[in-house]
Amino acid sequence: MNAQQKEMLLRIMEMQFAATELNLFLDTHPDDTRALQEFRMRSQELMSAKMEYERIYGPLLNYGFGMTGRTWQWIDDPWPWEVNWRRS
Amino acid sequence: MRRQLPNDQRPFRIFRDTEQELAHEQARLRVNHQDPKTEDNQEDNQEDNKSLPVIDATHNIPDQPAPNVLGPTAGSAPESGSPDSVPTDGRFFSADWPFTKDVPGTEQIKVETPAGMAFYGELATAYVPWQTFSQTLDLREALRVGTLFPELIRTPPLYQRPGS
Repeated sequence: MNAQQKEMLLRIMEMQFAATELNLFLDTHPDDTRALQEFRMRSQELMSAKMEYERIYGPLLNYGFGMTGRTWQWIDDPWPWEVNWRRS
Repeated sequence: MRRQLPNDQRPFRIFRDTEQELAHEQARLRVNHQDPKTEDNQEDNQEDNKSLPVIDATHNIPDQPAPNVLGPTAGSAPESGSPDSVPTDGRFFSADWPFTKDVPGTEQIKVETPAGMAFYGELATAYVPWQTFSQTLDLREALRVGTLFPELIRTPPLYQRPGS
């Protein structure tokens, strides 16, 4: 896993965490327009970042929830617990 | 609303494990808080004191607690000036009963303790302040501190790898 792939994955993790946080906030504040606007923006960014990642490095999800390329790429990457996330 | 007490009246423990322990603690407090005026009279009244349990400040514990140490509701208030006199301005009882029956403006809730004693005061009240949307953290920072909202950051940061 090269540095660019790791950076992209980390970026996706960050955006997904932000989307989760805004989701939880909106569960208790469904009428907050600013939070809803930010949630829309974040989720669109997240979706495009995921599509970009999957286009280059293969699917993020299996069972048909992610993109499938010409070859079976699901087993190509290291598993999440095999990645060294410590920043050098 | 919680009624804030002055520093010297803050309760240090609400309940004692046993009734006997409470009585001993209060007897000790009573000696420490005794009015200087009554100490002068003590020698004169020593013969009268023989019927009462002897209490000294070195934590020598009497077998039977004095009749008026079981709380603000036990018995009538002793006459001031007698050896049994207890300061009623809050110095004595407030140590264990911050909210007595007589304190105006407080919610009066009677709490029965396992030892069979009553405590008059407020129960604890939990509250959750309502969050309002103000600003969001930088996403990388958010993932690091465990929340997107700066008002929810707790120190030391939770969910943080040790040493990072």
